[in-house]
Amino acid sequence: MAAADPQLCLGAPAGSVNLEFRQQLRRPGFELDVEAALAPGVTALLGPSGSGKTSLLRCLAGLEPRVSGRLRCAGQCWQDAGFWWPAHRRLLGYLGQTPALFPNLDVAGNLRFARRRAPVALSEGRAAQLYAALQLEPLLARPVAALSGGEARRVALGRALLRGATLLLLDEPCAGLDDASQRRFLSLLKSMVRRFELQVIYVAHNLAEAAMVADQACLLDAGRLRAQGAFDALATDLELPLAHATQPVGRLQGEVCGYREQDQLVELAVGDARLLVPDERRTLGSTATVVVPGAAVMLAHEPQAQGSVLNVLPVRVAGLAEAGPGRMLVRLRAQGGWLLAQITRYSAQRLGLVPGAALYAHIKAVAISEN
Amino acid sequence: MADADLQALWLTLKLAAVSTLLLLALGGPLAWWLARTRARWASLIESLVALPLVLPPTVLGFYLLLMLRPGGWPGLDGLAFSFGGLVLGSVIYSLPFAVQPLRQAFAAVPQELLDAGATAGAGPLARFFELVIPLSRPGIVSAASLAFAHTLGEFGVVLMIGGSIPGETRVLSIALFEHAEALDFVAAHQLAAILLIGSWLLLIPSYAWARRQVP
Repeated sequence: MAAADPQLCLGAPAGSVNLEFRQQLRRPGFELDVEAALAPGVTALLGPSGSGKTSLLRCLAGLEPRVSGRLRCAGQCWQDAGFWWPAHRRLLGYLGQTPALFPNLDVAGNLRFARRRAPVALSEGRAAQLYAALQLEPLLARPVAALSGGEARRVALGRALLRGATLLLLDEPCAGLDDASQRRFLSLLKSMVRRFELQVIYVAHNLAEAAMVADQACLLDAGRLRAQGAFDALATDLELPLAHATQPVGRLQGEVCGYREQDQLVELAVGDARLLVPDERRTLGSTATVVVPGAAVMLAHEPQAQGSVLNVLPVRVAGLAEAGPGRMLVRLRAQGGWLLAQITRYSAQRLGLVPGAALYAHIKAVAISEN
Repeated sequence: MADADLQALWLTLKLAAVSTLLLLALGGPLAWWLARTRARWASLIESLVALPLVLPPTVLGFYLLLMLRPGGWPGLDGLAFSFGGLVLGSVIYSLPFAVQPLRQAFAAVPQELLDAGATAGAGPLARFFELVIPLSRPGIVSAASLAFAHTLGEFGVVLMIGGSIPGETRVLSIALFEHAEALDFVAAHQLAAILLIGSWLLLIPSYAWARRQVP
């Protein structure tokens, strides 16, 4: 039950605790009891189906009247003994698995529905920024039935933010979107979080999806909080089930230091090493997070110059775990983050892998995604 | 058409209009509660609402007569043989015809839309009037036309508690009955045709709408 070692936390922005709660909910055959304090930034709520992720999110939103416990958001008390604010009194944005746009109103009407309920009227400037960031302008006159999945989610996100909330609760907002729309939505979300200083609780079904946006993570299991900490530390913790998912991921953080126009490769400085990622041009000096699937990491004692693998990083073995018949999972400390490598037990023996061993991780550039 | 029959037509329309408005106003909240409640005893209330569907109208009329007669229930006594008494009888008699379509329409409003409304800052009343009502429009039209048409055709209850006072309780169905008894088939034909065609026309929009909603 080792939770993440806080000294090894990565990616968690230093910030004060913004959301602090204990939420208890009893239903026949299920009991939720989670106590946590969450810092600003994006927190992924992870866990198997039925572990209580959606229930917890609904409790935080004020949609479960039978919840007990306490809840404070940004210093404001929303729930305490004998005191509970329903959803419409809480200043937050909520987006469920479907966009849930009101079909009796057009896009502009949906947005107005939320905006005129802002407790403090949203300035024209801020509203214009939101409209521009979410590219809402061309959609305004459309009936909601005429929107694509990605467009509908942009409108729903706009509706969730136009009341002026900075806390955003998202329940698998990408459900039903194709890969490309999902990526676009997630990178939009990420830029919104940075730009408007949002705190996001993100229920994620899929680890790779969470890896694209999360700073921190909470892992739920059977209605309890099993682990909480920086996303990178949790996702690669060999004691936790996240690392043992079918497609486990590690992440690296780097700084954009160049662009190879001809090859359309972004150059990232990750510690002393350089990483090449195929993508569009990025602003020089901006930080980028790279998601590395465990199956894309090859290990060797010496850097291999031949072959098609572009990226070579010095790493140190932090831990090893069995992962099914003939398979091993290796946790690797790299400059700029943690990696997982899925390899065979045979390879692990041949390489003589032991904790502390220094190796070179080879990562296929096409297998990694950056945002 | 004789003046007395025109008066009966006017009275019938007035009774149906007043009853329909009252049914929507009272049946709306009741249907909303029935559509959303998880209380076990809600089924008792539901079956009570549905009772006029199966009960002979004379049974309802008989009990209403006991309540509305002079010396009946305090507050209601003296309403027998008056327009007010007819309105009360019609509202009870047509209640299931208003409540059931409303209930179905309300139950079909997706919970996720109401959750989205709540988290967008809309309280329960705002959610009801700005989301539930507009999203239930076909059900409301259906409830109104069924309640209206059913009140037009009311006979047994009126006979028991209304009698046949011109301008007060003599509605079309009573007038028709009296013409038939007096063997005045021309006048009877006129009123019967009005009721037949009028009721049919009332039912068309709600069924047309229901059909259009089917994808």
